[in-house]
Amino acid sequence: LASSGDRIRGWGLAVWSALALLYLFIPIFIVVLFSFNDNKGRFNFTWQGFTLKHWQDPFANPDLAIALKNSLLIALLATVLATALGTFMALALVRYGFRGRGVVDLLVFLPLATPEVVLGAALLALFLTMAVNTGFATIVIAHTMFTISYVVVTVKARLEGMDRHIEEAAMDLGATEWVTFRKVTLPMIAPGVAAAALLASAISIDDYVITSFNAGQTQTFPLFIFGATRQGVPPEVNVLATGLLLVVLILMGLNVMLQRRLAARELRRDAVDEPETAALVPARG
Amino acid sequence: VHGEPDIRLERVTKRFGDMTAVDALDLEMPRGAFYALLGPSGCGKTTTLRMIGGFEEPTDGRVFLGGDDVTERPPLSDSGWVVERLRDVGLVGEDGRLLASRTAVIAGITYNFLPFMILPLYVSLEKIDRRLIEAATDLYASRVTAFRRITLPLALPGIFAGSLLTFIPATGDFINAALLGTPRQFMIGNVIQSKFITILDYPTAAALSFILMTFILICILLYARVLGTSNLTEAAF
Repeated sequence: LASSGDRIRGWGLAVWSALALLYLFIPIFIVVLFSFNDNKGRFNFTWQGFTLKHWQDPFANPDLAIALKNSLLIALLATVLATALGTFMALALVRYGFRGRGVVDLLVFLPLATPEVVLGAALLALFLTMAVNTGFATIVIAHTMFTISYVVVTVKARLEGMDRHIEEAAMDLGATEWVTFRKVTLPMIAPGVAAAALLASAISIDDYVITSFNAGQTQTFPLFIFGATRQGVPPEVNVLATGLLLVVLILMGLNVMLQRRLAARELRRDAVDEPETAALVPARG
Repeated sequence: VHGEPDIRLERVTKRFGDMTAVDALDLEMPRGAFYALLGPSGCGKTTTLRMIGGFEEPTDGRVFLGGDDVTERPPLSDSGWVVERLRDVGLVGEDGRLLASRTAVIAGITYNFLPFMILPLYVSLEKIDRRLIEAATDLYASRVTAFRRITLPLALPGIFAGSLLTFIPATGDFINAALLGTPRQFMIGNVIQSKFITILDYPTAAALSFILMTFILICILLYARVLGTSNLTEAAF
């Protein structure tokens, strides 16, 4: 029974949500649109006609190409390091009781709750006192450092939802700790680890603040864009940003598909299994 | 390129209503040359200069500065169409600009951190049992009362977590102030960054970072005292 008050509320909510979504998506839309802009001169602020010329050679600017290559390489290295370290940290925090676990829990969370400018400044201070020259390596160290927290939190959430008994069952059947980890634990937390790795690489590619402190002479994609804002951002930046956006959208689509397939498989298995054994199937989610 | 004119006008026309101030003006000025615009009052000298300077958009024709087509103003610039329309309805400040203002910096930071507010709110709203709201309305609570007594208290952890997750990064942000503001809008992050990178005054920068960090730690500890840490990590992811 919809009263007129309900209708007004519904409309108001729809309009408000639409405005919020517009606010979120107009800037992204503009970035994509202006990768097709036939701009004359250095600036790419006003629409001057459609062209595909920037898409034909997105790496025309050699500095930009180097910056993007650096960003991708740094993201790859930092993701591998942070995912490996973070996954085992999460395992330790969830599976083992040890002195100071609560403190470690809080310390892991701290980088998430610290303004990036503080993290960047602190790292630079550390590198300065240790007389380390800032550059590619220090960026990788910095990115590994602050993405670990995201990995730990994501993998921890997955581990906490996992049934301990399955691991115990494996060990009861004579599997060693290592075999149990490889054959039981790892496959079960794999979606969480994959999500953590994706998150880590996304944050690494996107980071400006911490990188700007620790980059030395090395250019990354965000650093290049920020530097270019003074002389006019070349449209190739729009092309590459649109490309990154597409990659992320495809990965997100794949992730959704994978989750659906896993959920469907679980449903089938639940339907076949006896009720007692069905209770042993881990809750996905 | 040598010989390329520094300023070039192509059939530039400006009309104010029925009055044509500048009519299809062609003009080329090479680099380093001196020119004088002469004419009686009201013949369009100022309008021409304003169009070259980008304070006025021509009705027709094109303006080039050093090879760049600057005829159309970017929509959000001081003389762009968005700002002009906003000015018509009185929605821009006294200085008449949108960019390089405090509003622009706040809008930029809001844009950056809006998802960090939406996600925790979504998580805590989704968890609310709808039957509680139904029960409240069955017991004659109005929609407003049900929202105030049921939805709002149950969403509080999300609201707090979202506020913390947006407030903390926003306090340290310096990109928005640097790109969208002027030095008058600089925030503590800009100060720390310039002291560290440009002025190389490490002790002051370190002290400022530490003060900022302490302030934020106090916020988090207060939050953890009231609502617990699990709530925060859970709401964040």
